[in-house]
Amino acid sequence: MSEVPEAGGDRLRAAVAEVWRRAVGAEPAGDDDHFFLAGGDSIVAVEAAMSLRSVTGTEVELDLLYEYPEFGRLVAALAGEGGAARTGRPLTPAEERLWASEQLWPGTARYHVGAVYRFAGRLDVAGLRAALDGLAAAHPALRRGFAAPGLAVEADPARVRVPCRWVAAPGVSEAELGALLDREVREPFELARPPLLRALVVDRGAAGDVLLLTVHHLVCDGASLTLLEEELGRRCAGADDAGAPGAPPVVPSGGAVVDGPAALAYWRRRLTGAPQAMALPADLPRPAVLGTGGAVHRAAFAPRALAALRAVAGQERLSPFMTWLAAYAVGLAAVTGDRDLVVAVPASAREPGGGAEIGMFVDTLPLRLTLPPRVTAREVARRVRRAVAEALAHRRAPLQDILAGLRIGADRSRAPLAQVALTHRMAGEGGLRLAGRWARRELWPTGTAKYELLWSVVDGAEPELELEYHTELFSPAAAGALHERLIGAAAAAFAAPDAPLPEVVREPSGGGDGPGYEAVHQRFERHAVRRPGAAALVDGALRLTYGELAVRARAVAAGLRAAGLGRGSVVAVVAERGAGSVTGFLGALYAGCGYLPVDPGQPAARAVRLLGAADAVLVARAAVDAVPGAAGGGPVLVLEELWDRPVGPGAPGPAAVTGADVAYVMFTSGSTGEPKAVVVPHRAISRLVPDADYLRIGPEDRVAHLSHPAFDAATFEVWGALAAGATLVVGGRDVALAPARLREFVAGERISVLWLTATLFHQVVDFAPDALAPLRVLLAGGEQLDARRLAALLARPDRPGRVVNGYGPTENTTFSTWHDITPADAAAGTVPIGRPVSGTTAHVLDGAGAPVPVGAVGELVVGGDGLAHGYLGDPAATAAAFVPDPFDPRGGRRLYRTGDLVRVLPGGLLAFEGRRDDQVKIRGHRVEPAEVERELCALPGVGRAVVLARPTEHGAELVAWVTPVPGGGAGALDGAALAAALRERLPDPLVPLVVPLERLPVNASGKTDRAALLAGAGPSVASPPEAPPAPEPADPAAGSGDALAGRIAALWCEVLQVPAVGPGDSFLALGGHSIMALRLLARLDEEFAVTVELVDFFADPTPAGLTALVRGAGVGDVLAD
Amino acid sequence: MTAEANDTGEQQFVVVVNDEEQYSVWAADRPVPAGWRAPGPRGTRQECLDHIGRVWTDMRPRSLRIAMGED
Repeated sequence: MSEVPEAGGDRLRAAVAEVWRRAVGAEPAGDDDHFFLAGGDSIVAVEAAMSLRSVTGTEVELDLLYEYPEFGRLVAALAGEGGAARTGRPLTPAEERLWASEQLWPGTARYHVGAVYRFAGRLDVAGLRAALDGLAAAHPALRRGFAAPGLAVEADPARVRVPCRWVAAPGVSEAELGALLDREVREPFELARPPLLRALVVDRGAAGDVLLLTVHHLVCDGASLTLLEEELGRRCAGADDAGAPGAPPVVPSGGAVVDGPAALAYWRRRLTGAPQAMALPADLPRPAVLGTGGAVHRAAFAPRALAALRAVAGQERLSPFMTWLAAYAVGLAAVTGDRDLVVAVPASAREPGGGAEIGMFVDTLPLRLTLPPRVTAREVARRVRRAVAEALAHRRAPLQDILAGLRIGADRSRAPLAQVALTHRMAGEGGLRLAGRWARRELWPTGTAKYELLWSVVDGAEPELELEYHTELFSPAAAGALHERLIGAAAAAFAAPDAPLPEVVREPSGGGDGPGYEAVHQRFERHAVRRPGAAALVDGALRLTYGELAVRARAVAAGLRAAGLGRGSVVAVVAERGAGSVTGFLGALYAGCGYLPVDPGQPAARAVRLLGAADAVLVARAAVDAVPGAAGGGPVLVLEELWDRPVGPGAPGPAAVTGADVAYVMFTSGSTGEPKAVVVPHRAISRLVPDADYLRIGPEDRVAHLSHPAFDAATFEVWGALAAGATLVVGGRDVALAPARLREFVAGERISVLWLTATLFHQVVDFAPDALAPLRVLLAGGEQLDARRLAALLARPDRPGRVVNGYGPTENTTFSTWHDITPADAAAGTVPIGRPVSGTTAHVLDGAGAPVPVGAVGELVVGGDGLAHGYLGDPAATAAAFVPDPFDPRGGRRLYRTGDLVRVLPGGLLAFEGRRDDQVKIRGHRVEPAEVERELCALPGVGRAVVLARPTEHGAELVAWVTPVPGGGAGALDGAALAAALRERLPDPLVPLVVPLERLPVNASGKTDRAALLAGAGPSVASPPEAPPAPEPADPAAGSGDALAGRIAALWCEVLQVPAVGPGDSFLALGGHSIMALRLLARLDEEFAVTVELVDFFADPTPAGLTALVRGAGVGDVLAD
Repeated sequence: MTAEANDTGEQQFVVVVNDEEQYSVWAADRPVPAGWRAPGPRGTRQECLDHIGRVWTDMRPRSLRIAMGED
């Protein structure tokens, strides 16, 4: 026997090696050979996986090579554990669902069934053991195990032994017994090693024996448990045949046959537009990913209420199951206020003739009940009867297929479609007769929850009602109260079955944010009340506690209210990043207003435009000059004056808002030439930070605030910290501009969470990678991340705890997708942007609006709670960018077209491929070249302008080519002067290097030849013709005859990528910008160990000026030696 | 959701609106998605967008207007 699998293993190994060779061009050298390091890429990985399918003849996952990139592990995975998988069969739909749950939450007892039987006397343990082994030998399911990637495998009948432990515990207390049973029932099964059944006998001495049978739901459903009990009883009584007299023989089933299209079509029709979430009154904050912890609350149904319920059921000819479903529906409607309910119910998937087979034959059906206004309990009963009858007629549709057809987005904080369920059995069912003694079955709780609420009814003269609830959502008190209310409402409704159900008054909730919605500023207030002394904000020497910041926010809000502002108003906040801007934002939200961040350094013309969108202006005292007198016409309030005013204890607290209320308005570059004001609602921020799944920020965290307040990464930083009770640590401008300063900042301020734009990230990895070592989480993105630098960072022993790629447009609130970057990603050469953050949907569509297959490229469109309302005052642009969502079954939703082209990787991850239009990212800022072109053409003397992004080693830079108006010569245009003029109108990242030309090159089709422009755009062209010629000698040092000046000039050339510079050349005129300056200063630090402040550099940004600064630091003398 | 050619060509679109009274455009030859209706008019993409620019005067979602006690 032993040689056969060996030979099979060798054959498999050779076949896999051949696929490998064809994919990467070389045989694997050994088991450690890594597919992606050997040259495999994402496309080849899919092709290889498909080839492996034909090798093994099984369905391998298309992302197999991502899971097992090493050759040895790949072969092992394909062989299955110990080669036993050879005889495996694919899973039935019912098994597949449970298997999926086991993969998500391995080792939990969620699908353990623990049946306890208390016997009056002693059990014959040896006889029981033999009977259990006989049972397992007779029933394939009890010999069945489950192995990756999803195969059912069967063990040899002769070898199966059911583990059966015996514990002597005379006089054991009930509590001790409970603990013993808890441990036993929760002990994980090793799914690949059958049997998934075990027994524990507790000998309590005179109190009698207790038997606990623990079986995994994968091999045993409710009906099977009854079969198992009956047969076990017979076997213990001496019968060694499998079945009862007359029972049909046990025919192993190959799994349920699925009746496809018609049943599926029914469910899709039935569920279109069904709500995705039930408004259950959970009292605990919902985690981003719901786990499995659960508990049970027991209650009874009053006899009189029971009689009334059964009377209606009798009149309406309801089965017992239907009766309790009707009671459940009425109760749920009362406690949630929902009138459109989806309840998961079990349905048998047994084949005729498979009646006596033990196994998992239960499908789950999502029953939808819609309750019209003024509905009566009797009408609910009729609707339940109809819905159940229809569902049973279409029951052969696996839940996963129904869900797949509905294209429900993966929200990991709740189960798709149905969060509540009902199970029902008759009290007479369930029990075990051993040696003439009968013991009734008692299902032992496993400490887990399968649904948010699962109501189990054991029906009889005195029904036992158990509510299994998620302990992450409900405290025991809340769950108990909910259960009692549910039962009370059902009892009341059926006591008067022809009266309309009482209307439940619900809190206003904007578009499904649920009652009790808590916006970020309300969360902040909660932290301030609970921990007023905790550090909220650090801004240089200024430190504010939550209590102090809350007082300031209340004062600012009071000032805004006094000025007539409130819910629905937009308040511009003109302040530098720091205590001023943050207090302004909080104050605006406390007053119920939305905030509009405005950079005080904004060009005046643009400031006027931005302030025009606001109803009022809140300005920091230091920035008062930045507010033009004519701004908007609304009141202009000085922040410090407001927060210095004392507020009485009676001042109103933070305004209550819905998730649909406007939280902020933020400008982005616009393709039509005008900047666009993106209007973002509160629910979008809630979905970005406090409720998100990619990162949980806690009170112990210190979150860096380095982003520009008018850039939407600031949303992540500010509210990520303040909604979580964490500390927001403001970094000065210099911190964001010098890797060495960043190192000091991160270490000195004990930063744990840091966001960097791709450009800055690349700088830091190049010059100070150790700066990132103390971080718990580093998030980077905004542009493509460089895989080479990521690999370098991840290879360091002092790398940050996590490195997360965050991607997303402002219109979907900072992050739409995220990805934890692994060394394998970095090695593969492309860094995925990953998968949608929770509460977000993402589709990749072709030109016809249909989803593209794996491996293909399409436009990324995103939806969900992160979506902006649209563009302020621009309905047409909003309608063009925010389009109907044809996929969401709720209907009426919108999707935002990102314009980004992405590829769908095997396994569903997304990879950025480029832009659909001309939009570019410059130093993390989004730039529409059209906006820059428009501004350029408005300048005197400019005829035409073409703006393009030119790739450089560190990221893209913006270049403009301009031609003169007719009659003017290119000589009349001064690139530096034009750039300076643009600086008056556009924010810094939008100001390009300006290159005057006589005429624009055209291609064969008569269009501007963009490729020719990019190819010919050496920065030397930047110098206008009349500029003084660059110094003649190739050695830059010779120009000044000074070694230090020579080295500095050489660094300029290196950073600016120009052949030569003169001592008086302006860094800006040569195309330099602040990030390049940072790079220059970092190189300077490296060479001379001297720190030059960026502000000082920009005071005289010439080689001569810089040389003077360095010499001032005492460097020149050393070098001169 | 539409091919580039559709954006500029003569393909017909309809103005669509959802329960939140948010407007958008949709290709006229495709069924209008659930939860949206097409009150008209129909025309090129630009004509539809121009129409929306005229009629969509309060851009707040309807649920927000209701929550604010209006509507």
